[in-house]
Amino acid sequence: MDIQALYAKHGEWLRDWLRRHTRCRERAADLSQDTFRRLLEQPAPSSVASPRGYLATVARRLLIDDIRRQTVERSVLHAWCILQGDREDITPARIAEAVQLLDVVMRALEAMPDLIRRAFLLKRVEGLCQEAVAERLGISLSSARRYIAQAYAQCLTASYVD
Amino acid sequence: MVLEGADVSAEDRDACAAWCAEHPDHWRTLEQLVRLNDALAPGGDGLEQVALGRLVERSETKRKRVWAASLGALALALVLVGGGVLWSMRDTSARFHTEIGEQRAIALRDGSRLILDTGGTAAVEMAGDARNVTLVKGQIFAEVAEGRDRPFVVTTPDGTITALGTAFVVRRQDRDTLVTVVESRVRICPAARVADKCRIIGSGQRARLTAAAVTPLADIAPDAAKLWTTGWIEADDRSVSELLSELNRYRPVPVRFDAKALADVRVSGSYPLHDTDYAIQGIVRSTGLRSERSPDGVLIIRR
Repeated sequence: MDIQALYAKHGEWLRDWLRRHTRCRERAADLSQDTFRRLLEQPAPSSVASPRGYLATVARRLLIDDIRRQTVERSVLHAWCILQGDREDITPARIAEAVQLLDVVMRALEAMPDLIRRAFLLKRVEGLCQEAVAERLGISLSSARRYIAQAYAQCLTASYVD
Repeated sequence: MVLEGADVSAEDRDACAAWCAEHPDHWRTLEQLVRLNDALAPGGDGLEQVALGRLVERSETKRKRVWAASLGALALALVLVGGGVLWSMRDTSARFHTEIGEQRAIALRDGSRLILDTGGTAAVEMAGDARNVTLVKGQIFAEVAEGRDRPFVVTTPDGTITALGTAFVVRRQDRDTLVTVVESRVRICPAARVADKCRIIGSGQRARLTAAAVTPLADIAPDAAKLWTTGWIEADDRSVSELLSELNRYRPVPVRFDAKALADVRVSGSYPLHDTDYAIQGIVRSTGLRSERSPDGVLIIRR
């Protein structure tokens, strides 16, 4: 597939599409750039039936990533606001680190099947032990262990996408 | 490297080691996992923990809303969505703050709910069986989930308010604390711990709490006591300067007025707290007072 031709023919269309979806000219321009960069970096199919559909699919994924990142950033800043009354050692670098880590975790959570995600959250966020997780979800202890392990595996894999 | 402490079997550890040996990337991913574990471990600065709690609450509420709506329980879900923070970490504490004009709903892990009013600061601590809220500044509405053996206590510098039932309002003022019971009863104890100074008040009753004593005040309609939590303020033949002072709590730039000059002006009506400019226009119209802007842009109310 000729990315350059795709850009020349549908670049403007993609920027319009993104502008409609972001309601922000700057973000639309950034995401349009990112979309084509992504296409250049990844092995592209030799031909696609609908070039615009293909572009929109890649762009939509980037848009979702972008929104998630913003949500994570807001939440970390919010957490920082709550905590700073007690802690003065939370630095900008520390905030960036937390955003990066939670971005990975949230991406993995989104992709998880319902039961696996809930098992992971009960264990990690609510701090229940495996027995309590099993009881809460009405599943066997061995299932709970398997689900939690799978959730971890997915968190790990998520950190290696892109 | 410890994988999940006591939960980990020898096979798990072997499997992990084998997996790590497969590819150098696997080591790096394992490092990420350790970072997540470390970040969520007690004793850290809590940044990831608080942020993740909020993120999870948002996304889980979104999921929940899908089925809640189909069950016709939309109203409940919307309450949860309304800027709430599910504070779902175990054995930790968190601090909440609202800007002038802001109100925040805080959903606690035990099912209790707090609403923190304008310019407020509160700390919540849920350790073991304790449910402690420290009101540093401002006003809070507490709707307490049942838990007979888990006392729910609001503390201010003036003393403590212990829930014996479900809903009440606590307001910390400069020199004292006002307590209003919306539903059921609370026990109020002054900070100077003298056993017989404690007092129990019930639905619709109000009391002033100082470090030395609890003084009963005139009763109030329970619904009126928590009206502010819905974003409205009501006046029923109330002194206009009192109402303006109340509105000023929600205004980053307060309106200026001479309380003495307006002493005999009364007002009745319902006004929105989220648009106090609009509220003040309404008050001015119904009382026949005048409003004008000073050169520095401050709203001034006079006869």
